[in-house]
Amino acid sequence: MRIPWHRLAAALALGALALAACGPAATPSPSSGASAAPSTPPTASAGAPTACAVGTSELGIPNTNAGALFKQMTPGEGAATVDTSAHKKDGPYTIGFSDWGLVNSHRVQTREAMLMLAPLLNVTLRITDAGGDTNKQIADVDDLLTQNIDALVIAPAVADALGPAIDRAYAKGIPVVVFQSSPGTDNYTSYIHTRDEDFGSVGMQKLAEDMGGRGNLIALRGVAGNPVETGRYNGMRSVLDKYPDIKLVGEDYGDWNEDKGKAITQNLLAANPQIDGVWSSGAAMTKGAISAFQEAGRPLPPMSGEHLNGFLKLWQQLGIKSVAPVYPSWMGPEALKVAVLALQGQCVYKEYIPNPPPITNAELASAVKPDLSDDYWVEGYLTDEQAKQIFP
Amino acid sequence: MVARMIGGLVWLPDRLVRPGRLGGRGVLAWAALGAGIGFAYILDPKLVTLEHLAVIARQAAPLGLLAVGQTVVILVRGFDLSMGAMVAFVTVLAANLFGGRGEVVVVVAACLASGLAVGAINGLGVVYGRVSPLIMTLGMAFVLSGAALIFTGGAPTGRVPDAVRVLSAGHFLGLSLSVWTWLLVAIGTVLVLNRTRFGRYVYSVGANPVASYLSGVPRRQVELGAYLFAGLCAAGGGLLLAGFVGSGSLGAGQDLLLQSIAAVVIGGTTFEGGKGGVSGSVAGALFLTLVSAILTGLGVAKFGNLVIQGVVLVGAAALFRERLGR
Repeated sequence: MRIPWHRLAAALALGALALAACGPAATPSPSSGASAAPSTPPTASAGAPTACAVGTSELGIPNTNAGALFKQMTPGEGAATVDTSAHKKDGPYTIGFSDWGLVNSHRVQTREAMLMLAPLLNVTLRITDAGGDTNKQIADVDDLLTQNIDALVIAPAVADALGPAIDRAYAKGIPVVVFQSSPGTDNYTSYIHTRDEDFGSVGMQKLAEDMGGRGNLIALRGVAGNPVETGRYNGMRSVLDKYPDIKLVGEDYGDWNEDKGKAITQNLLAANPQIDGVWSSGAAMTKGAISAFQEAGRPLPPMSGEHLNGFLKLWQQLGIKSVAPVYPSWMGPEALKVAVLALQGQCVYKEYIPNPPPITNAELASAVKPDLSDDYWVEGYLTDEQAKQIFP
Repeated sequence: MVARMIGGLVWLPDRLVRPGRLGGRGVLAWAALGAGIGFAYILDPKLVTLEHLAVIARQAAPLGLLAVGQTVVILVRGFDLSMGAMVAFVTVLAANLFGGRGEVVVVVAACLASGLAVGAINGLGVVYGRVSPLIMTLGMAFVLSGAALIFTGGAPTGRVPDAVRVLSAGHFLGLSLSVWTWLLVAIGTVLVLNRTRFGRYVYSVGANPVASYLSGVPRRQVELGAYLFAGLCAAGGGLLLAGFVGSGSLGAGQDLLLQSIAAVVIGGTTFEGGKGGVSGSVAGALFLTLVSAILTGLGVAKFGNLVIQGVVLVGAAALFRERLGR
């Protein structure tokens, strides 16, 4: 019986992949950007021609949180000022919010905080949800524009992808405030975003100290190619370079998922008899890692986490060494405030950078909220009552 | 109809069983698995200690259970693209039902019942509504994802009951209970497919729907049964994953759908229907998980993993392709 050629070809293919299995580590490269997640490449605050003097940015509301911009946020370095006097009008205002999607409790907290804030600012909020889809979000912006909104607040699904839609909104002569992911155009009023490198470096710095500057480290990364992921990872590497005695013995992408974070950790545990530290790009993966160490019966090394209440509880309960960098969910409500400042004709900055301090072992006891939901992101922005309303 | 279905599960005497179906193509997938383990042993023996192989088997269990269900649907020339969404839906359901304080039996029963219901809708749509399986189950996937979102308001919350977590954490003879669950379902399915009337119908419907119909095989019931079983497996896979994670997660199961189809293909079951079996799919699921675990251990991150999975998939498909014009 003759052997069909395609079976031979298949056998060869199997052989080839066997060889590939022992090849060198693949170099991370930006992938198709399929993930609908935020991103923040630093945007040079491009020349808004009109300079003005930024005042106290008070909104004229007798409420501590809503009365002015949050103190944990500063203007971007060298950010231009934007004269908004042309937008000045009296309330009540209708503001459109083009949200990229509700995928986790962080996004829920952002949106609910905005909904709580809106009535205090005399704002009616019109929200669209793009479900992570850029095309849907472009249509969403156009829909909002036909509803005669006074201002647009937008969190782009993919960095730089919403440029044309933001251009159209800005051309209508309304303030446009972007947050989280970069707008991909210079035609906007203000842009609020974090420095993801800081998230990675803050966690790594504390971790390196907790590890005593030496030992084997593993890294749990987010979604491959996502700019937030790359930023956090690069921040981690920049600190790691300063500690020659800390060896990065393994890393993989866990997609910010608890189950994948756990599976990766299990596999890295098998390959490495000694692991002295875990750097993680997010709280869910840290939880997965903890569970993997526990089930393997291995002692819990220092790990970096995130400001998710469920993780903080676990951290306290297990008494591990950790640190929780903060990726603020309050960028949304702050963006809403900036939009209202613009509608009041107040001078604003073209760029704002939140720089919330991380939660360390010292602050843990006062930060953790034993009575609140595991899904709440602890950041000292909402009151406990508000948090309870969002996550009962 | 139900009576006929149950009647189809009657044990057949030996003389009515066509020999040689237990092994067949599936053997190649088991060989690949063995080769993979041997290969990993050469690279780094730590990666394939018995202890870690048990861990890998547990990681593979949710995927493996999906692959078992997917195999049966593909055997009758169908497809179930709603399995991944069903897994996410079930993890959310398990963590939230009765505020996470429900009786575990009730929670598990509710999850499995939802799987059966989804399988029934899929099956009725495909068999009686004559909707393409691709469209029917893809639509169902959207519905389930939406339902999970509505259920959670976008914030997957809640804690999976401890007894469900035992599925992942509990052990018997060195293997996780989730692995035992999976293997028992797989063995049961192999027996049903090979030793019962229903099993023979599955193969004959898949091999030639028209001929089998003309010769009196209740094609519709058989196909419906396959979708019901797939729904049940997807719900079971969701429970195993929920046990592994411990909390509801909207992102869970995203990759499982395509991997379940990959496992089936690697296991030697072809899309032409009627050819292949569950045993190969079990090996396929183990193989995919093993590759991923080894690559993580070796430091070849996800990119290498995806490339290798793709090459294996195409290689397997080519290997099992039937010669044309026969």
